[in-house]
Amino acid sequence: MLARSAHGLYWIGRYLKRVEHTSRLMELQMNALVDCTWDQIHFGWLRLFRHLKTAPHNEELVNWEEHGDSWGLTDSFALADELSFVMENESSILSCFTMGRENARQMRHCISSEMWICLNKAYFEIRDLSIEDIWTKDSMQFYANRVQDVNTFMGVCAATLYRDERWEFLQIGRLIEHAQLMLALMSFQNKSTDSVEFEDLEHYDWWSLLHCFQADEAYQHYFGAKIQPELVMNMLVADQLLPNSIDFSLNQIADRLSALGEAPANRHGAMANRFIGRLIALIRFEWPDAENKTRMLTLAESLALKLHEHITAAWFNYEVDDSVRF
Amino acid sequence: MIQRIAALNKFIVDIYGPARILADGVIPIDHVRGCPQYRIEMQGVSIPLDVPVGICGTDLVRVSDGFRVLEDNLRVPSGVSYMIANRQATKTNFRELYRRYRVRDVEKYGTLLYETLREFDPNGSADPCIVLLTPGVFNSAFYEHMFLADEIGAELVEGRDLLVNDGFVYMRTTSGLRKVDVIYRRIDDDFLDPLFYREDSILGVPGLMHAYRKGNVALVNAPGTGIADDKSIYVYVPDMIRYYLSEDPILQNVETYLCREHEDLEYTLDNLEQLVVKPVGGSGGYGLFIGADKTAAERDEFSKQLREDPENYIAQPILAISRAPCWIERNIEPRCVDLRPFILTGKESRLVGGAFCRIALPRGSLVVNSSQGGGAKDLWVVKN
Repeated sequence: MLARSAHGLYWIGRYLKRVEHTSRLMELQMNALVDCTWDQIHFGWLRLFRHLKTAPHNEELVNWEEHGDSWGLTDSFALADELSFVMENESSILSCFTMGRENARQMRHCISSEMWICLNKAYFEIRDLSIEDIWTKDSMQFYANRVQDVNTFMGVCAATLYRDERWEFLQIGRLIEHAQLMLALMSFQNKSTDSVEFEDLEHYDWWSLLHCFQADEAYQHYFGAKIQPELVMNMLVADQLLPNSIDFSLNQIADRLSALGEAPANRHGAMANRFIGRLIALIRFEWPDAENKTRMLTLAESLALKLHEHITAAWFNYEVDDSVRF
Repeated sequence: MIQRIAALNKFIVDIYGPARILADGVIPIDHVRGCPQYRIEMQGVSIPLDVPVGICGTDLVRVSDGFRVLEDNLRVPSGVSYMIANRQATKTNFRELYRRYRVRDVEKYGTLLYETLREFDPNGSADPCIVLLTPGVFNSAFYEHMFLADEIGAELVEGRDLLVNDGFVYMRTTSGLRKVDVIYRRIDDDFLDPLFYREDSILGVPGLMHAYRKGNVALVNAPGTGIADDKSIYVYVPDMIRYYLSEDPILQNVETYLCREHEDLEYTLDNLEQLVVKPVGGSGGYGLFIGADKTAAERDEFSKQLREDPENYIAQPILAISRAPCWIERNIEPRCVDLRPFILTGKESRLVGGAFCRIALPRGSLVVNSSQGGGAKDLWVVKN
């Protein structure tokens, strides 16, 4: 297929995964606003912004990270707006949805009509909304609905998309985004657990994180009701059977790359395969005994970024001299 | 229409080749060589199948004594997807009515288009690589580009997806560079190749014309076809039919006055109120001057403009074109309509039994162009 079309599908997968991921954490954060302490709420916002590697555009929020006495609900309102509807913020839900849909619009001939209808319908539902529309009434439901939108879209993909390269690239995009976001999230969470700044927050919301990534039932089943941060972390990072774990995503990426076969830029294709192999080995074999988990997660994050770069160079933006001709 | 497109194709091949029609004085040489649509780069180029216009959309109107050709669109005619979309809408919403008539099918257009494009393959292979070249998602006809690419099973490419190497055109795929045989191009000549035409074009492919001239890739329609649908050349189409085919034209033109001719200019200036004046290189209904709709002062002002640059204009009588009942704001009202049938020509000419039917939405308007607020209807050609 056309390299640009494949690139577009890859980014549809990435943008929509980011919508889902951010929506899950926002739902969690909206829940925290109901009955958590200001410290816990502040921690939740820091975690969201830092692991998404973004910052508020609203000038009044310049110093929001300095958590002082004046910090309150107004800040939460503005911060929620930032991650939900501010188009200038590339990580906001609306911005990612818009970009995902824009990619789909250009690739409409590569996706099924039902996928387009599903995505379009979901987009029009949120396009004209603002934070005021959802804040007092049904903010949690709003984020839950976005997760459902993405899940529905992925379900329609699974039901209607032909299982050729289109499927593979869409899935690779989704899985890489998931792996990168989860690595960043776990890295922040791990750092915070050890940090003096958040010492009062030890064990804070490990349970809600499990719930957020649909791992709570499996955790209870295998480890009981008592929350042990190390077990939770291990589960979200290295559980081979948990669909939202990092290990699971990495293995799926390896399978997809192997299904694609040889890349037009062979050197980068081989590098992509090496990086995914290295990442899997890191999580599967080095992670369990690692003393410095944060360092390991940071290393994995940088490897995942390089994996993305090699995939891009191997299949989408390859040099003409490198490529196969037919 | 088949007769007309046959003559137009012969004309284009002739003027970029031996130019017999000019040598024999049927058309004044300066009318052709001085026309902005004349592409000197096409001089001496061997055109695949000797068919520069593979896809033609001819605008027809019906007047009191039959059909007239309003203009021939020979560059990148658009609208065919709306013909099919309108039909699908009718079939969905008026199922019973549709079923009662034996309406000719328009939905096989995609198959005919594919067959036609396939015939242009320079290698004559059974499964040529055909692509549709679009300016991109911001083009107003992008929906149509996507629709047609889907219909013919071609990749929808932008200029940046293609490259020229060793005189061949390749597209970037996820399996490497794939050689392209036929390009159904939906971008204007000016933007096709920055090395030949506009050097600031980012929509085209550097070196594309080089590959085309070498005969390694087919472009449909060929560059330079605009010379035959220029409004100042339109007037000579009946002469072309007689000259190339030795036949009388079956479809008539609308009476046309070439303002570059002194007598025609004087007639136009004296009768501006009864005429429509059009810029020769215009399209999309832009720049039309409908005398009857203007004040005396506006006509005077326009007369000065005409005298200053008469070569840039033609004039035609205001036609009483046919109307059709339309559903407008919950009422049935008459509106002017025209038809754009699409003629596909490869080794032979092909048509579907239908046309893109445009309507002028404002009451009393004669301008049907989509870019001027025109609408569309489904047109039924009923079998005997």
